[in-house]
Amino acid sequence: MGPKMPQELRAPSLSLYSAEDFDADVKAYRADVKNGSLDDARALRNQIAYRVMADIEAGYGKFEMRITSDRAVQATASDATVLGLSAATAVITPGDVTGILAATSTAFQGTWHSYDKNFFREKTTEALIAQMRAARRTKQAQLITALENRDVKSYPLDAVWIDLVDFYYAGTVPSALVDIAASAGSDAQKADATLNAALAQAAKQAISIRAAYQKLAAAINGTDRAERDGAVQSLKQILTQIGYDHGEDLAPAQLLQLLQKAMSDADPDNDPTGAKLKALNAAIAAANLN
Amino acid sequence: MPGTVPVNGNYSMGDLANYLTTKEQLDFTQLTALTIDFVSGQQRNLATFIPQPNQLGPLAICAKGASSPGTKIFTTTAYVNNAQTGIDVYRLALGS
Repeated sequence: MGPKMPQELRAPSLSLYSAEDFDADVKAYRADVKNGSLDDARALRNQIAYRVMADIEAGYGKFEMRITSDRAVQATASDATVLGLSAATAVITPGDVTGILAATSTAFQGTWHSYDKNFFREKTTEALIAQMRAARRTKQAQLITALENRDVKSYPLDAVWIDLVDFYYAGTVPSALVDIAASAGSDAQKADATLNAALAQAAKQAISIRAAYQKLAAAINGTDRAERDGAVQSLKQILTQIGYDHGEDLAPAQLLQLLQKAMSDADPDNDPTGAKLKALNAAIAAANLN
Repeated sequence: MPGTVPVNGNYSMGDLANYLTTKEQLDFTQLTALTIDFVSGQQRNLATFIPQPNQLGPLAICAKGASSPGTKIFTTTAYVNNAQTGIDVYRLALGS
């Protein structure tokens, strides 16, 4: 749905770039290059590129409107095969130059077969459109920058054509799906890295906590009264900080047992969040046992 | 806690070693065995722990036959990254 489109904008572009006109322009471009009229060739190259871009833009606008407003298309979207076919042909108006574009690249032929259908079904139309828009903006910016800054020697029409094909396919659902899948893979890798770091950190903290326990136990079971009293105070401080009620009349051995319980409670199987382990580690660090 | 507990089969070797080390340190236990859980039908392992009042060094796991610092405590086959893998389990020195 959207506001009524002005009559002037209703045509696919300012003037539909027919295949005949396109062929004639390409011939003229090649003749200019051959004759050494590189400035003329550059102007023609840019004209060809912008006219094709205009056709792609017009086709894409209609395509986007259709997949957002026509819920029937979304229903069809439950079948990746059907959507893959419809999306690949959605922006093509038979007879115009975008048809040549579609025929040029076989990049997506068959690729949509490999999509995991379950993954596909989770993608909303909005997410696909957001991905298509982002990809198109990026490709279009690259194209325009190259057209404005590069001559026909470093950026001939054939290279422009490759980028136009990329720009065209950036506005298709299969392309958006590939991009989203790649992004999801990247996110998964980040999640794995986070998990690795968390497990390594947990092991380090556990070793440190256990070392502190051994030290406190040695002091409490030792014969040095001052060391024993100091260990009792440290134990009480640690237990208080992590919220374990130790009372006033617990024996030193009982305080040690309570710390042991706190350590067991911090086991990753008992507290998968790791919050207890982190709190216990912080409390032991604050007790400054060294 | 001492006893046999299920262990995730999708850990990497490093993750598995860190997980088992954490359990040993916090539960006052010692790992004595690590095997595939054939009974559950899931891709997971079973780890067996016995009580251990003394603090032990961290564990390290490497592919079977690969060199590692520390003392090898056993060789086994376990799920690593969801695939059955031959591994060596090593005990590193405390403080390493």
